[in-house]
Amino acid sequence: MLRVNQNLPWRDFGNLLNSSLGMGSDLRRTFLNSLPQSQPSWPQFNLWSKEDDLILTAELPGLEAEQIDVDINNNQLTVAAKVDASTLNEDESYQRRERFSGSFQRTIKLPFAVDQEKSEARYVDGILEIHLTKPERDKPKKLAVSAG
Amino acid sequence: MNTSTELKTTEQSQQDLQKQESPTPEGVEPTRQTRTYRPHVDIVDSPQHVTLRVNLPGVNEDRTELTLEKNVLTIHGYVKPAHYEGYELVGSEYGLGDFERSFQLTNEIDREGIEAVVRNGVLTVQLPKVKEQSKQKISVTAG
Repeated sequence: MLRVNQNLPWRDFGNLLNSSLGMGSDLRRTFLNSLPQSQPSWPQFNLWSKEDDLILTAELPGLEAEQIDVDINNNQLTVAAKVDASTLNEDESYQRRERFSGSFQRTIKLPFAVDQEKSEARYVDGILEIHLTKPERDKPKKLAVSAG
Repeated sequence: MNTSTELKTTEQSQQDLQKQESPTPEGVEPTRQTRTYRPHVDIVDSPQHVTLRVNLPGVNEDRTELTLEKNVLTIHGYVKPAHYEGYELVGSEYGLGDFERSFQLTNEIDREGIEAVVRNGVLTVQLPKVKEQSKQKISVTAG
């Protein structure tokens, strides 16, 4: 059963992440490093973890897959999109405007350098899913001990 | 210049990027484990239509429910519970759950012509306005 922690104010991340896996403090650095002090970051991420794999998810409705740029540079991940500000026709006007619109960019630091070949990003129903994995050579290996 | 606002939401809301949970009415207990959030919406008014654009990330047309009862249009989006086999949620900046929001329609809206389309997590509802009533000829027969 998944332990789902919802609605955490971001400053509580430290506690949550320290209590989870061994890489807790690295994941904590991942989020804390990326959040600016004043404004909310966009997009917002959820982070799923399994041994040597990570899945980063973000809710980004209303885009086209081609507009979204996901860049991996060693252990830095950047998600960005250049979006033309939505324009209305002459006879249209906003009665209410709540949805995020426009370009954005956010960079976060991952707990480990990822294998770029094996990483992939999917955009389905407005949700961006980024699958990341550790390079083979960085995964812990068991050595067979022979008598000798 | 805004035309008079004929379409009202049932609650006030503020500009906010955070997901807001839907308030539960007094005395009503949730029967599902899932939380429900209030989706962000843009409302655009034009002479012919009122258009709602609702952010429903994770929802497709099969999981969108639109109901119209009396004058209230209710939108409910069901999200597949996020589950990645073997993975654990270790960091969370946004909550997971369904979406629901209601809107009060006025007589200005032609209920027959309402159209709804879902694409990439956005529901667009087009509410046409009633056209000017054209003159009707009524035939008179001898009795």
